[in-house]
Amino acid sequence: MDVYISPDSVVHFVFLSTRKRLRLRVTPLLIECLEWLDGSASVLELDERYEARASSLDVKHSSSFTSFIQYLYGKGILVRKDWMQHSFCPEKVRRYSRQLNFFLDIEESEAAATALLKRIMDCRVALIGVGAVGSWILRELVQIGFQRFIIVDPKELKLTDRTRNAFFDHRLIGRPKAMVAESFVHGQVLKPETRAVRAPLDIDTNVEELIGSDVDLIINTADEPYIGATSIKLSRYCVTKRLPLLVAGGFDAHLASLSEMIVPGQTPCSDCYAKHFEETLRGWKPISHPIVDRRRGFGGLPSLSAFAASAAVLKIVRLLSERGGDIEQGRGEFLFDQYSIDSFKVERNPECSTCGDLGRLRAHAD
Amino acid sequence: MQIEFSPGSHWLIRPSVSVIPVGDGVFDFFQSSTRRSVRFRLSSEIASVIRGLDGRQCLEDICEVHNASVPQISHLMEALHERCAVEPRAVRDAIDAAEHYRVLNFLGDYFPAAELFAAFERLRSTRIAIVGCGAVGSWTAVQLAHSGFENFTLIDGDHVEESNLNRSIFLHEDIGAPKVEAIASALHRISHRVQVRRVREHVHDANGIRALLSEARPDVIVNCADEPSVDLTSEWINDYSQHQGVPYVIAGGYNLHLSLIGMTVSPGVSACFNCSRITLDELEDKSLQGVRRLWRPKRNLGSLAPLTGITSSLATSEVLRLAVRSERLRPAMWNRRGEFNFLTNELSFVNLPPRSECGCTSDGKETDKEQRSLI
Ligand SMILES: [Zn+2]
Ligand SMILES: [Zn+2]
Repeated sequence: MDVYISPDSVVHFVFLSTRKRLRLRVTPLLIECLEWLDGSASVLELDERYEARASSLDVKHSSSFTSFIQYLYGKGILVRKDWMQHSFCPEKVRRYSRQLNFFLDIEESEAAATALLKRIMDCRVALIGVGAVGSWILRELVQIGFQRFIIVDPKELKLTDRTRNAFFDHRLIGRPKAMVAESFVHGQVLKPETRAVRAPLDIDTNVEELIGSDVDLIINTADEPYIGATSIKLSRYCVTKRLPLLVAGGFDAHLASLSEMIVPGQTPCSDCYAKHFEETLRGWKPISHPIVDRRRGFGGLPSLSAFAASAAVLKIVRLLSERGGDIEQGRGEFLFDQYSIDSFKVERNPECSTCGDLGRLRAHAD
Repeated sequence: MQIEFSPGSHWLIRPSVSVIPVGDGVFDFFQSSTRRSVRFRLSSEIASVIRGLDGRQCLEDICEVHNASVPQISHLMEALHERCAVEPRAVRDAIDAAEHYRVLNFLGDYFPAAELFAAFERLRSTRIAIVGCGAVGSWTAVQLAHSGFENFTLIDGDHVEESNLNRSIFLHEDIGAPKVEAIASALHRISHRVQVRRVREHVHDANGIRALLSEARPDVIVNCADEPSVDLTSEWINDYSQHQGVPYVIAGGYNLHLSLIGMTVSPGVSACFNCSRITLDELEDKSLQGVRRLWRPKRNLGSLAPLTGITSSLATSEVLRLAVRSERLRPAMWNRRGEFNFLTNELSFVNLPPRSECGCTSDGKETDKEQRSLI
């Protein structure tokens, strides 16, 4: 928060994250006391100091300092100095204090900020694909406190991963990427709970056998056979299980996509997206490319993978937060050329054969 | 690289370029990495040649099949090469064999095949100095190394603490180590060709920073130092930059839910930090004028890893644009700075033009004239 005081004794509290402002007209004495609120004295001590100051200045005051503090606390302007220690052990406080402060800005209450970090620590994530974007997503998830993972990737780390994989280490070339990622998680988080699966997600894979049934969120970054196909498969699974699915990376022509969060019944599903693009791209038909095998022909930059991964992790934080904004419906794309974001809305298709029923059920319940 | 458009030369449509007929004989050559496109009107014989341009047949042979004129095709190849839509077979083979093929394919949207490897070589050999190796600095260093940069000077006097782990690339085992050492290990895991000068010193003033940079002699400086404040360290680095003609990137940082994207300064070409100050002072929030800000010495500002990721991603891209030293791919953050909003996924920019009062550019006007040299 920023706090400003204008000459007419009006205090402006500015919530920097939401730009929300609260204006209060208070006595000059209370303004003086605001600077005492740095966490070094208890409320009782401050109250005594306030009374002493008031009588030395010989000013009349109706309400107590304590009730002023209570008012500001209720508005989310004040927090207890040790609010993190009430919920987290010292090691977690050391590691996550800056982040808890961030959550406090977003959620605007101690309880909600605490709950958000706890949800992050409890969330069981299935990550499909540890490639250019997937590896960076995992690194960031670990940084912010996720610790329960199922990591699926069929391939081994190779030399050319130097330009794309967040876990690249030339000494680990040849090792399965799922295992490399798993051992990274074990080295970094406080209470790891992981399973590495060295297998592909194919069109005929049984998803539940692959990742198990104890999952809260699936992240798909698998580019083979083709992310569109694996996403439709996973999205259908997620609709039946009512699980959120994040689709990130994996697109050759979408180097820094902001990713798609699919929440069954609330956002379009992969079938809705596929239908939408089938219609909007109807007139866009490239000639069949003279080069048949183009796998080594596409470009990418580590900085764009990092951008895409970061945008994806922001969506996950927003999904788990209480006030992180609406769950967007649509796609966005960061364009390298001028650093612009190209975004467009996609609505749920009420006739969708996969998720249409969920909408009808919801409408009925409403 | 010597490029030939002769009848015996072999050409192909770049694999990442899609060719879309948009009617009336017009074809859109769409670069999928950067999503830019260029249009050409082609006769039906020439269009047939394009459809078969896979690099296996020479221009003469493929023209014969489709009854097209060889000089016409050679001419078209020159135009398409200049617009990065086609490449000679030999260049494709060299890219395929290169470790950094993805970066090369990407740069290939800006650099015609004849210039591509030279541009990458300039990037690879660029000497980078990173001032301040905290969250954004550590991420930027690692992304640069993944991109192919090999020459680093890291300047930071701090040690890794547990509280750094939630947003920087430092690992649990790095706790207690000097930050420059921890980053150096990370860079060496990526490539043993990377050379790192480690400078374990805090920067306190303009003289100190000038001394350190004069020793490092970087080609590009990245300012990630926020102690005592980004404004102060930028002022100091600006001073060195203007005197020595070395460009720099202000990596920004974060402010609550915003990732800040700093400006890129090429001395004599773009607005400098002092120019930006003049403009920003004019733009200051008028609604809070005449008010006093409450003095709060112990503020705990929040941060979140992905916001660091976004800030460092843009800083890395700016360094890459400076490093290739070409009109074909210029910095996108000259004369502006930006913010990425966590809550809305929006990017916004503020224009910060060169100011004649500052005197850092010759005329103080938007420098659209030919740049002497970008670096
Ligand atoms: Zn649907
Ligand atoms: Zn200037």
